[in-house]
Amino acid sequence: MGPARDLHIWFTQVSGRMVELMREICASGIIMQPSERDLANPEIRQYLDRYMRGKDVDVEYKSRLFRLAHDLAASSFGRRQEIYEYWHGGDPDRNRINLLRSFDQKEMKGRIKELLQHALPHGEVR
Amino acid sequence: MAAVLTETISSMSGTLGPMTGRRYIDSLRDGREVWIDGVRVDDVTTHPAFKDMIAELARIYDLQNSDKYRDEMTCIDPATGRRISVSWLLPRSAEDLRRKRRNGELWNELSWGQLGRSPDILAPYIISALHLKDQFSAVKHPKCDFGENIENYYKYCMSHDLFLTHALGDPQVDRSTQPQNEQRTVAEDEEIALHVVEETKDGVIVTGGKQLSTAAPHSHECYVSLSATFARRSNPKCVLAFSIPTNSPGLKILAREPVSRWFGSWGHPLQMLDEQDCMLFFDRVLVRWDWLYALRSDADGEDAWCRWRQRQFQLPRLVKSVSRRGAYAPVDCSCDDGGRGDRRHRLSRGRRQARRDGDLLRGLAARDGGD
Repeated sequence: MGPARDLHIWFTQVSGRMVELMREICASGIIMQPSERDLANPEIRQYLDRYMRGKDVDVEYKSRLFRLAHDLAASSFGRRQEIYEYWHGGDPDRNRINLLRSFDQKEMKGRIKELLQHALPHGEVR
Repeated sequence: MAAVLTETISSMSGTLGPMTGRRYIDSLRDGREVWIDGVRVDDVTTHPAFKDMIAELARIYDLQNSDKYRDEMTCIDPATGRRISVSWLLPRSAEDLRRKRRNGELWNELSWGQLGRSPDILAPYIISALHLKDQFSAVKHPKCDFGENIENYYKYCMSHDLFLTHALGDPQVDRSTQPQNEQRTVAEDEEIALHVVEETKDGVIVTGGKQLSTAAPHSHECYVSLSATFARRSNPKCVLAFSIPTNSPGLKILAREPVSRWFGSWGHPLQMLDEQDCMLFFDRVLVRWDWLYALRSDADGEDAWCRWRQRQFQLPRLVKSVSRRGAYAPVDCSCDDGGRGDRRHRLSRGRRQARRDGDLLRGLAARDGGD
């Protein structure tokens, strides 16, 4: 791992949540969009124009936008990306343990031991 | 299918018994208008995007008639003495409830728990609606009796062992200004939602879209209504509920892109179970008077209108509580306040109702010496 080890670990925690949010925002639109050939067929195009457009955008634009979201967050491709982002830096759990161990913990452990040996007087304001 | 429905509802003579695989496959070759990737599908039972799912359901339909499963997935209907699917059994005892639970368990097991819309899912909707028959009848309409419609429809589904799916939501065009949002009523949005355009002597003509209807390409009928999300309508012409044959003229079914290109391969063991999700486009579709469960007519008083809304909240909740238990129990859902209470009141009454529901179940079980 490079110098930004903490960032790397944090990213494994948020990358999955990012695409999860995208799935939540898109709702069923993320799986239900017309294909290029649906759009090219004049017999059904009239229904797509009417019922599958967005607010202030036509069906052509909306379906492209949602299909982009689909490929990022829902398709086989997108789910592979999600797995990649989680694992490509190595095992996030072990990396966190390694990060913890890379710090000098001597002083903190010493203070804890001291606290355990000399408990604070009960009820006394210091 | 429409012709069959007419014949059956008027005479109730034809009883076909529990569905078989062969009958299921043949029944889907009925001229339904299914589109996928810009192409009209001639026959869903042979099209690569649908055939494996259909074959899998046909396999389970045959299993329900096999020696191994016949006694668990089918039974004798006490009212007619004929063999029916347990999915359509009207439960009369705790034992019946246990049977229905086991039947649901088997449908789940046999489809590897992957079907959101297996053929046993919508039956409890219709059975629950049948229990509320009097309430549906209480909303009067000069052209039909909604309660009678439900009862006839239940008998029709039971005798033919039909596979229903449902369509409840509006198209996802602009979620901030849909018709359920009473503060804003944009005429254009109401045209997008399914609505009545005309009344004729045969029924109502409807136009509009529904997003989504899972399993539409391989089901027999579609239960079209409003989910709780969409139940509050500002425009009376958008208030309607009915069931309709999948092959109705003018009903266009647009399937999404398949989630697999490797159906039935051991490398993708679950992908043959792509049950599909579809847009439904209604383009001047006739809904016959005897297919309707609810219709907001201008002749309705405000009371009837309120009761209808209230039922829209009650019915899905009842079905949900029932499906969690995998069983159906009769409940008392009297609309004693005429639906005038605010929403909070309705919800709290829903909880009381659920409690009564539970008490009734426990009472039945205790009397039966079961759990």
